Amino acid sequence: MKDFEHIMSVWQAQPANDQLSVDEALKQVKKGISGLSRKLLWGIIAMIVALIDSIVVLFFFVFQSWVTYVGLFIIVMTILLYVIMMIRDYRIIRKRDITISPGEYLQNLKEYQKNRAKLYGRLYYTYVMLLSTGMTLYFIEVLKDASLAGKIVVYTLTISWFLICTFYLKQRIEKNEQEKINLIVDRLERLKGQFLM
Amino acid sequence: MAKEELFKKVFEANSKKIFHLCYGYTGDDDAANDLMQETFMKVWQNLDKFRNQAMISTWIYRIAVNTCLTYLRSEKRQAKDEITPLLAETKQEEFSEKNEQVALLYKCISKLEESERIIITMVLDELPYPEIADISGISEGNLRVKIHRIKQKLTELYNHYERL
Repeated sequence: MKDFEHIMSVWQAQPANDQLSVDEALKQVKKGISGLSRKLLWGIIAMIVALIDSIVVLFFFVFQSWVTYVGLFIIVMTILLYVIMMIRDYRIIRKRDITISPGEYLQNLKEYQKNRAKLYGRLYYTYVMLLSTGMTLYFIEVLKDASLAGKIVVYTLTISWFLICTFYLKQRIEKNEQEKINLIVDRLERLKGQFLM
Repeated sequence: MAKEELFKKVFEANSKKIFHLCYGYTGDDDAANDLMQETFMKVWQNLDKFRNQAMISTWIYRIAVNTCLTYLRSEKRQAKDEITPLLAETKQEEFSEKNEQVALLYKCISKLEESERIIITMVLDELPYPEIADISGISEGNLRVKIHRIKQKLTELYNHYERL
């Protein structure tokens, strides 16, 4: 029958792992940070490029109908909304204080996840709907001179996309997101409970 | 002191214990290395905010604990966890009794609850109780009771698995 002292001696006698050198650690840390920022940066850059494209079309292309301008304006606003959300999320994550006590940290994380789920659930639907509306309005004039077959293809695809989003994707995404969030929240709740005694 | 110098000093003084904490939490060598790297990445990012308001080791431990707690195991990792990592790693090496005992100890730690794993690795690394209380945010009185229970639980687990 071994006692805790024995466990202590086993622990202290454990072979040292191949310790990373300080310089190597510093290199990895810097690389890790730049990798993370780069990934986020590319996401934001891609969205900004799409935004600039839409703005260029909106301001430098001449269209006959005001409906086309309304469509483009909706597209620009939707992309802008998405970029703002990306930056907002990035700022919240950056601002989070990781040095607070575990109980508080887990509580913050739980609230963030819940808010994000609520916001994104609503926002995703709005995003798809706005983008589809903008594109439909834009296509009315752009496809004016297109062949009948071309018009049918584009409109069928757009209407199908609307229907898929409304009756299939929305529920599916909401259900998946909700299940994922519930799992995370349950886990955070259980962990938080362990630190509040 | 320059940021890089401070980081190096902090890394040298704390990396071994932080690795123990991460290894005790995950029971997986690769995951422990990932978590340690993530911890020190956050240390680097937050180093400017640290103004000696507390002991730096307490500050780093809190980052490590929060990083561990929010670590989600991937399915691949979970499958790998089925084998006690140190056992798997040392399979091809000469099986010394010491290695076996250490592997057994990590296996027993992996059977504890998350908070218990974190607390016991700090106890085993001989951190003073007030510091553990500060890191975990648990009052010192409650922590003493909790540590007493965890020690008992771990000793029972160790003796149980040793007999198998």
